[in-house]
Amino acid sequence: MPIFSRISGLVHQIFFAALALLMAFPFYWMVTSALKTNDEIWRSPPTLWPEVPLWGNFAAAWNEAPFARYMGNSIFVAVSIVLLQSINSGMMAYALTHMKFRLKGVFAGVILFGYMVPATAVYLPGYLVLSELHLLNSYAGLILSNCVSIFSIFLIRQAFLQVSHELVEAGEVDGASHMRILWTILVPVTRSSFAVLALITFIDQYNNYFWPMLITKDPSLQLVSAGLRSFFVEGGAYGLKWPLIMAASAFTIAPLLLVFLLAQKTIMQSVNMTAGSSKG
Amino acid sequence: MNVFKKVSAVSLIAGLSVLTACGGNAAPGNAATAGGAASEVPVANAAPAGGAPVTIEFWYGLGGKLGENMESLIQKFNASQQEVVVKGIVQGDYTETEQKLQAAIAAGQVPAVVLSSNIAWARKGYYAPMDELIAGQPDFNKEDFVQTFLNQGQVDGKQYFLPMYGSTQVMYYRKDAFAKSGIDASQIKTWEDLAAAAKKMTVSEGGKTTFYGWEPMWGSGNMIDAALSKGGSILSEDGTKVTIDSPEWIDTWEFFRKAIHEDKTMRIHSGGQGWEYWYKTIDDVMKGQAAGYTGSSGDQGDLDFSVVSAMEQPGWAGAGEGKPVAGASMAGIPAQAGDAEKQAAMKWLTYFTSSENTAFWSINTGYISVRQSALQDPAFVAFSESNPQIKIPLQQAAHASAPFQDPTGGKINDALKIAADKVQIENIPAAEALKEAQQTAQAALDKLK
Repeated sequence: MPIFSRISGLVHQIFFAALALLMAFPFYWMVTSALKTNDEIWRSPPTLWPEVPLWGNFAAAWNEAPFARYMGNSIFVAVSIVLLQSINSGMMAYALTHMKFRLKGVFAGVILFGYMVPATAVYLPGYLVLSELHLLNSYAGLILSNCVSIFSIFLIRQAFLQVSHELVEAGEVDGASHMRILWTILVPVTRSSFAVLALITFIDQYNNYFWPMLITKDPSLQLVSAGLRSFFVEGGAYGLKWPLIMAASAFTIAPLLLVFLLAQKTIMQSVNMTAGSSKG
Repeated sequence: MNVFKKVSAVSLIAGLSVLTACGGNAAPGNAATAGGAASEVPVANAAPAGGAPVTIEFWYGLGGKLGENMESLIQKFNASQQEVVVKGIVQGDYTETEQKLQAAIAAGQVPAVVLSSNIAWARKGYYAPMDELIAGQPDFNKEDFVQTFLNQGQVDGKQYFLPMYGSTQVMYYRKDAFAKSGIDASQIKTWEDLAAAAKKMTVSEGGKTTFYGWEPMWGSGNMIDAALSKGGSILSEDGTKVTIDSPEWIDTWEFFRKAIHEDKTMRIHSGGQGWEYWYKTIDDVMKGQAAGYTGSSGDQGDLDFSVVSAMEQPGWAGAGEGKPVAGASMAGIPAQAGDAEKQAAMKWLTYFTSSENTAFWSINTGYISVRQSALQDPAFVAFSESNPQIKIPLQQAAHASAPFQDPTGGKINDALKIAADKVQIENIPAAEALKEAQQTAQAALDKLK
């Protein structure tokens, strides 16, 4: 029996290792392709490691377009959105879960109704609103138009629902204001959900293409997604210079990988955290 | 209590929707007046002679060398006079330009001129008719334009769009491959000649072709060109019947299917990201894996003419010279732009389409100039002496077919595209693919009545 379970454990591990390799392979392929020549990328059978790694491709791609500017824009906009969304989602979710007021159910219903409207249907009305507010073609427009997310509100609402109401009541008995209860009791207990929110929102916003493209026209406001596309069209000469395109793609996703590495621990622990909160 | 809750929920949601709907309706009206007010400012500025220049936005979706050439012409225009400053705004491509224009029109904040054209939008009044503006330009000389290009910009008898440059599909071939097999390009007058030449040049090892005699470009374009050259038409003369299953069409498309799938003397690169298939086809020719390909006149900027040469598309034995499509990329002036902006926009378009500049554009990009007088432009004459390929698209445009205006808004073109994929990729007999396409297209056409 122990032998059997050991073998099945081994099989499991091999299976998951293979799965992990499969997931990682496109990234590996992207990075190694960035080091090859165009001919080597298209060679059949493919080479797993470039014959002569051309590290200069990264520098060449970086210098062909203002990628520092693009990435700076994207990171600034995405981080601002993450902060704003964390604050307003926390407040909204608190109202929905631990406050008592009339028409609370209706309020939740209206928010949920908003979730059902497809994003493409609000592009034009959203554009008109921004235009009236004179926020087109500005950082403020890019940030404000994305600063409320119903998905984020519901994510935090689910987390707050896991926290027993007694915890909030205890705070009220001690005379804490709603704000104090929210930021010093609820948020620390559910911080893993906020980490998930931050990660998902950051990735979403970093990858966002159509909406930012629609509301900006100044090249210096271009986000990395639009910048990468411009590079594909111009510097990459419509897909002729694949090594440079691969190099550019590789360094543009680097911030995403970095964010994931940093937040990984918190996310993995998220299950325990929510369980722990109701124990206390 | 529960019922009360439900009722109030429904009414609240209904109320919200009404509110948002009102907002949606109100916004364009307000924005339009705001736009109007904004545009009056430049009028006031422009009126006194020597006042502040009118700054206008020009949206275009061109990248790479095309984009660079556009940028240099804009700068030249801005330096050449003091009344108008053109601010070029680069878009991702033609499609994105149109998407952004749609939002801009809704918000009432339009650019003064845009490299985009849409006949349906012109009919709805989103574009301004240009006839009066053109009349205001003393040295415009409409008659000098390549008339097929100019006609393309007319909607219900009015000029709504101006051609900025034209394009047509021509043949590019490797000089060394032709010489090796003793083929004289000037003797290739028909597709039959080309097929024979391709057969002669094709090299295969063990049943696998290693050097292709020709590479048509993926898609329906090339094969439509060839079918038109054979005397085929897409619609019957009265416009009621789709005629893409006529013998001319079937014979033409079957000719390509046989060359690709049976003789294996031709090859099609398909799929991939964006223009990948296009550049893979060019790559094959430049790297000596194919004798030639059918591509855009605009490819000339990317090709090395010490290796390749250009020739016109051939006709068919017994059907005369080729009649491939030549079309223009056109620019329009959105109707919501202010009067001073419209006039400034027309000044820029007049400058861009002047004999000298359309010749400059043609020399640098390979696209076709929109004026006949470009042929006499000194720079063009000098350039074409050492680069004879530049004249090929213009010569072909002289006996070209006008681009097909799809009355169904794209359904007939779609049917042709699907049929082309079947023939080029899936090796389905042309008769079968085209009959099916004809039925789909005819059904779409009948629906209009």
